[in-house]
Amino acid sequence: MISSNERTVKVILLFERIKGMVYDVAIIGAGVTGCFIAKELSKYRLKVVVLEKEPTQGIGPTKGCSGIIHAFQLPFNSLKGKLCLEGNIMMDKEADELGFRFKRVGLILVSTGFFSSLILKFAKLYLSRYVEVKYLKAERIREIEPNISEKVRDGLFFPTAGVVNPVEMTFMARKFAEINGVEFLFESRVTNISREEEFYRVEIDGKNDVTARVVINCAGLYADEIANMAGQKIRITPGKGSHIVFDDRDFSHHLIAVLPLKPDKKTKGGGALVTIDGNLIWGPSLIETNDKEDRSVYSEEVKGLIEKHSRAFSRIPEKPVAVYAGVRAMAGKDFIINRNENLINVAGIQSPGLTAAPAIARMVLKMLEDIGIGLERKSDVKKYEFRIRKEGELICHCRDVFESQIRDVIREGASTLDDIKHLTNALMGCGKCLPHVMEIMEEEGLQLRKDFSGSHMVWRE
Amino acid sequence: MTFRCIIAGGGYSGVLLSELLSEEGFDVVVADQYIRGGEIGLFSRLPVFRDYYNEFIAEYRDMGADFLKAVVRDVEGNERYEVTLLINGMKRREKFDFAFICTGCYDKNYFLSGIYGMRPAGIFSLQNALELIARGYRIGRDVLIFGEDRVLEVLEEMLVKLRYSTNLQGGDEVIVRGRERVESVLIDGEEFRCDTLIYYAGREEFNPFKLPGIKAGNINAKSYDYGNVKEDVLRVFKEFRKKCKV
Repeated sequence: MISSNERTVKVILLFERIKGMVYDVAIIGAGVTGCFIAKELSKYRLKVVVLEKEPTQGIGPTKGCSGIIHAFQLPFNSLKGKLCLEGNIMMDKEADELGFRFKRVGLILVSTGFFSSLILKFAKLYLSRYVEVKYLKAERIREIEPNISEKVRDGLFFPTAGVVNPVEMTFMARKFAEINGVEFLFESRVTNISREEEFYRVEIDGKNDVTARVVINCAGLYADEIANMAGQKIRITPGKGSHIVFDDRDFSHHLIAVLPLKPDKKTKGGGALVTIDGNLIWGPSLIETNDKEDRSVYSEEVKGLIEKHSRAFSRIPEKPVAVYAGVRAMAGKDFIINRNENLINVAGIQSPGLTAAPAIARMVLKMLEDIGIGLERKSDVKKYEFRIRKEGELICHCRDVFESQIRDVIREGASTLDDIKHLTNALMGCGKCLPHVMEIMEEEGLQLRKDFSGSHMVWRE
Repeated sequence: MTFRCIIAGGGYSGVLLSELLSEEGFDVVVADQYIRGGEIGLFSRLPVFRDYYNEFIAEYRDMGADFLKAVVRDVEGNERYEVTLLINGMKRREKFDFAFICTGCYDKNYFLSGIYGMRPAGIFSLQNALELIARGYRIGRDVLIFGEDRVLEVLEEMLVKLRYSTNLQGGDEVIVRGRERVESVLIDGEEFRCDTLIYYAGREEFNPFKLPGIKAGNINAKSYDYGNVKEDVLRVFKEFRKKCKV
């Protein structure tokens, strides 16, 4: 006996299917992982929707990361280790296809003592089985990095390590997906997931519904809550990483890390990094926190970063311009990518998630094949062209940003101040141009928000 | 023979210097992205500031200069300067005998001002807060002003007049709390509820194109005290004149 309620559901589903309202795939979360999956799926004849609680893409762990494309990730036999190697190889083609900037600046891992120098030589033997690596003598390191400390004895060079602007990378993946038919619903918080027949009904903000055959959980820090809604268990623990940014462009040009002898929580990870635009980033640290939204930075943390990374150099960089923290979504040590019925969890994507993003997308595509979603490739996949003019008033003198650039990124979909900042580099110097940028935002009809849904900066009288 | 001078920046210092040089018989061009104004122009659009800077505003208004709507993008050479001007996005090169840099300064960033903790919306440097208010925005409701300078008392008086609730506090370090918007700040351990933080901990030279030339005014004084700014312009002018006579 079918209850009238069930009958109604069936009728609605039928109606939606006829109208084409049923999505093949609903992706929850528009971070780098969600956007790369969306971009990959947009090449196939599928109806795809991305649901994001914030007003724009890449606002969580994506924006807070360091922008590094890692050469490798230990252990090599872990899922993240494999996807990192795979993603690194894919990155040139991805950058070319999507139009984001990617530069293989290379990583130098340096030793500062007799024992670490010894370990370095053994490490080379082991690592060279998986990744391109060269041994560098101290003189050679000093030749390419003049500010390196006298204490540095030797080092390993990994030429395949690189840098990207994570916001740009994610934005370009979103745009590629969008022009190829993927729908993005921003400020759409998923509040419930229920299984009805062979479909998922995904509730947004407690009112609207989206019906989809497959749900992909890319909810980052909130992947546990999403899994929970579908009756599955994932545990996400937040791990804060602080950074300090210097505008000291000639200080160093590679990613530089000191080989830790006994890595512990305090000394593990991070390095003296560079950005795609030539600034320096020192960090990240790994600080335990109970709060998924804890992006605070304290003076002791900054002191700690400077103390730690200055060991590799003969001086400290000049002109600190910013400090920031990101929160990693950690689910134990490795990534969790699994399927439970037609719900795919892509969770715990901490470092090297940015590197792995294209490889994760490929892996998810295979999982969709296993589910039996028909993957028919489109013949007319469009390439997105990011057209930015440098015209009109010079707005940001420090980074040479013109009025038209800001208007163009807004018209292309940038919707918050931080979007504009990361996509144009305006406000990355002295910050004096903030009122002018905000006035342009207002003229273009944007809400004057910093990043999150409630982050209004100013109001009109 | 008349010498040609270019002054980068048409604020108070640039215009005062132009006036002084013109009196000495120099041929002076003042280049600025926005014909007239500078920081004195900003003050003249704000209540209380308008009165506090009255003397300088009046002086600025009464001075004349040969203005060029352009950004000085580059200055090269030693004897004679080859100057690259950016006019409506187009580059133009011109030769001058002397180049003066009056590009002013900007407020130290939050990090150098000792602002730590969270970075939600509602944190403004003094300069940006003033500019936003002058553009007709309301920047919050309960404002905590952090810093120690005479100008902050002027700011507080203005905010009260504009119906903000205010609290002026000095100290070494601020820790901001709040996720989307400022909720409170801790100053050296003491908590203050507010939705907006305005900080000021000194200023730095604004010269993003690293223009070489003779620096004058607030680029040297780095202050909200325009008495100091005026003094610097007069000093630079005196030294320049002495050199020219030799």
